[in-house]
Amino acid sequence: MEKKKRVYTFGNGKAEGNAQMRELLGGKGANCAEMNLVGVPVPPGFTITTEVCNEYYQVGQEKIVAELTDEVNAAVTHVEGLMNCKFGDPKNPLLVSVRSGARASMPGMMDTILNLGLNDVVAEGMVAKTNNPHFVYDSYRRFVQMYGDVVLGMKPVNKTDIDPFEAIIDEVKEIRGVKLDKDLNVEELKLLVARFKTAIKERTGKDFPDDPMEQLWGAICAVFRSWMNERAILYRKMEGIPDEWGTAVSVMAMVFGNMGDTSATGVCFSRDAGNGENLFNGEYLVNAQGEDVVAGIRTPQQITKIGSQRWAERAGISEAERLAKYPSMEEAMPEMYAELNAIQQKLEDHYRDMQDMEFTVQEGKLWFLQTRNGKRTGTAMVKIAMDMVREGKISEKEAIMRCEPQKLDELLHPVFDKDALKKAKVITQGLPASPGAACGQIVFHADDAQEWHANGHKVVMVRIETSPEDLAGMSAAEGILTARGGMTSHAAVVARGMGKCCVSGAGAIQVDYKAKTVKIEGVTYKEGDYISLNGSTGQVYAGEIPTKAAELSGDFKALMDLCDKYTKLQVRTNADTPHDAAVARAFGAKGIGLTRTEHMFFDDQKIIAMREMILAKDSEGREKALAKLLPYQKADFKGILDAMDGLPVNIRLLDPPLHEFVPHDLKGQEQMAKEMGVSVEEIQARVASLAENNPMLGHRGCRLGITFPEITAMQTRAILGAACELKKEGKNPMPEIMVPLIGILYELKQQKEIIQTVAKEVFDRYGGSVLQLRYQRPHADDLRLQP
Amino acid sequence: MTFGYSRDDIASFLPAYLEKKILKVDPFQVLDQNGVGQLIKMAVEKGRAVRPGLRTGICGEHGGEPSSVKFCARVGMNYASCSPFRVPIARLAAAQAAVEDEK
Repeated sequence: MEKKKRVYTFGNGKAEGNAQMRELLGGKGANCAEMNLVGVPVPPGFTITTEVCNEYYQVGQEKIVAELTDEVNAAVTHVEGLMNCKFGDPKNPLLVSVRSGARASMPGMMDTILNLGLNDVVAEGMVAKTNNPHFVYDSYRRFVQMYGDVVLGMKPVNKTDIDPFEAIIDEVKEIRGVKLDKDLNVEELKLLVARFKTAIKERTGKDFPDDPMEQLWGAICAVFRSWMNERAILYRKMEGIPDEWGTAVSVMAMVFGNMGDTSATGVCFSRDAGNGENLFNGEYLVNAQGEDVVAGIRTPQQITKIGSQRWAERAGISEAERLAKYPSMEEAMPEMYAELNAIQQKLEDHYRDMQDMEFTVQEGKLWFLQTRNGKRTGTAMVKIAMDMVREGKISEKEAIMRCEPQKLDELLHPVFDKDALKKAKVITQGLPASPGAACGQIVFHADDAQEWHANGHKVVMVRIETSPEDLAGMSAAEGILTARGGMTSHAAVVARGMGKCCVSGAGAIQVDYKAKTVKIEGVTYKEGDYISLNGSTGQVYAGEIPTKAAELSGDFKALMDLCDKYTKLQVRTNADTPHDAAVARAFGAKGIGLTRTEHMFFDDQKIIAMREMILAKDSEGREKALAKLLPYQKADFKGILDAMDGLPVNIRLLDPPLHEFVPHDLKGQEQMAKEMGVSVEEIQARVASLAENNPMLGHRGCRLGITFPEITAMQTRAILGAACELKKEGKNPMPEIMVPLIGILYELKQQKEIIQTVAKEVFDRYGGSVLQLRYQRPHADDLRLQP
Repeated sequence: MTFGYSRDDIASFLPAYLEKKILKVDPFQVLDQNGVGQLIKMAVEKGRAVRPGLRTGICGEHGGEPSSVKFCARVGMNYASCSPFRVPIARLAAAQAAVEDEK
């Protein structure tokens, strides 16, 4: 095989790698090397490169082990030297952790083995050294279990199969009358180790390896194998990580935070990952292992004094009790804290980003085990980026590149109060169709939603599914919950457009429109009962949870101002109402890119006139109905143009198939017959004649304006009339007209003629051409390209 | 529509397509840059060849989806239009496209 360096050591302030070698050493390996180079104490260790992972898959285990042996042996000796202990030495044993680490973070996707190097002899040596047999044998049984599962393939293949080790634990617990794992005593833990080993022998036909080097080789190869396990493959597909990146293997000396009261372990962040505040924070436990901090077996304590005081206030604990029982690390271990604080600042300054770090104090000596750019909420993301620009740590462009656009969503919708949410009860789960938080009283019909809303109630509209007729009700509601429909269902699309919270496709809810009840998991909720929706997670809660509204201010606004400084592409909004236009303008929209005129027709009065127009027999009938629609349309356009005063407003002429507007129920058809003075049969025949096999490809777009030119004329009259009136009032309306779905140049030419004729007529009436009329080519995506 | 899919009817087969990895993403959420994107690019380029300074824009769900907005910025469109609550998302994505292109 090719001669090249495959193992990179680190420790004692030296490292063969560095942070730039992420591709070769993985994120974890590169950062461990880098921490050494900047003088952060890290337990010594070594990293086997990602290239070896690929070689493993090319040449197989045997050849790769042979190729690596010299380098790994030398690296182990290097670690032993720095730690002043030896692999397998009963008096002074070295234990190591073996972890995976790809270029990109793949949390929990691959395997990790801790406490490697233990066997019966070493365990006894550890007991003598630590005087803590429970810790040693608990570590030992965990190691054998982890090793058996990961390296020796004892992990069950099917989800329904029981892990053989868990089965043994349950058996021993039952015999000894023990309820929780942590209550097992030393004898029982020893028994577990023995029985685990017997199970391994029975299942694999081989003895559990006592030789630490044999254990190490097994673990290294298992980490390489875990690169191709099912969940890692799936995760890579989701995140677009190529298979050929491979994983590195990092082997690091174990340090223990549970060797008495001068030992501790913890997790910390250089800034607040929740709200972005520039305040060092974290949790730690004296005399504990890393797992104890996250597992919630003991209550972790705060690292800083201020964090501890805030925590105590929230928990209702007095200052005296806090100091006595839950002191911060700053107070309990002031020297260790001072060192920790200095290093976290050093790491943040070095990486120029908020750091998420893990550390252990072993008998008064601080070790850093890991550092990485910390995951954070949308709010924290924006605040940290803008704070760092002001602190001169990063440039404006870096701030823009650091923020993830999609995460801004969290800042844009009303949000639940976090503490209240924790106490609330989830009653069912649907799809997170439109983010945000909503709570209100249950209603089932659009008109009820409007009526309750008008009377000052906050309502959540619960439907089997929604249709265009429900629009006004959806608008009046705080949120929408539907039993059917996916992420692109009517309810979801419309709700997202409105910025309205929506949970769709909650299949477990049974809606009874007649009784006005909804049954969820056996509980019946009536109209007027309170319910809360989390549109970001799809969770539905019983009762009322307080919310906060979103706004563009502070750091969020500052970031948006920065964006305007560099952007070339302008951002407009899609808006069909003055309210939407105003909301978008407040969020910085530079005009309207699409105003759909069809949604305006769904109001009570307008829909009747609209239906009259569609159901009319001839052009005369249509003209009559259109004359009724004109004032409504003009008023709508005037409101929108006014809300976007001084900015372009692109209005699309009528686009959807007419069939969507006509009544399909007998009641509606009877009403129309009465309204128009014709028979119900005639109406029904006309409705039937409008039905199409493929409405998306049917009589829609400019085809409507071509076959019914009077529609184009009326809409042009309304748009330009509204604009002329505003102009006279001293405003600056900037309408643009979009002729939808142009496929052939002549379609545009014919529509253009109608628009020009009407424009001249309107301008003459309002006294001269006060507006400049621009002919806009159709949007690219409307040019037969609607995706 | 370029795929021959209707947004109203895609729900019956989209989940299977996503699961079987035939489609990586819902094309009604994320602009298909290889197919539809090339048609957009062609429309912008050919349009401007005939009329320099032709204004072009995109509207709909794609106008607020970051990767689609970046694509539109790169092919030289003038604006993207999205629902009000996606405006800041699109503004950030558009600024990122500009910063990335400077490098």
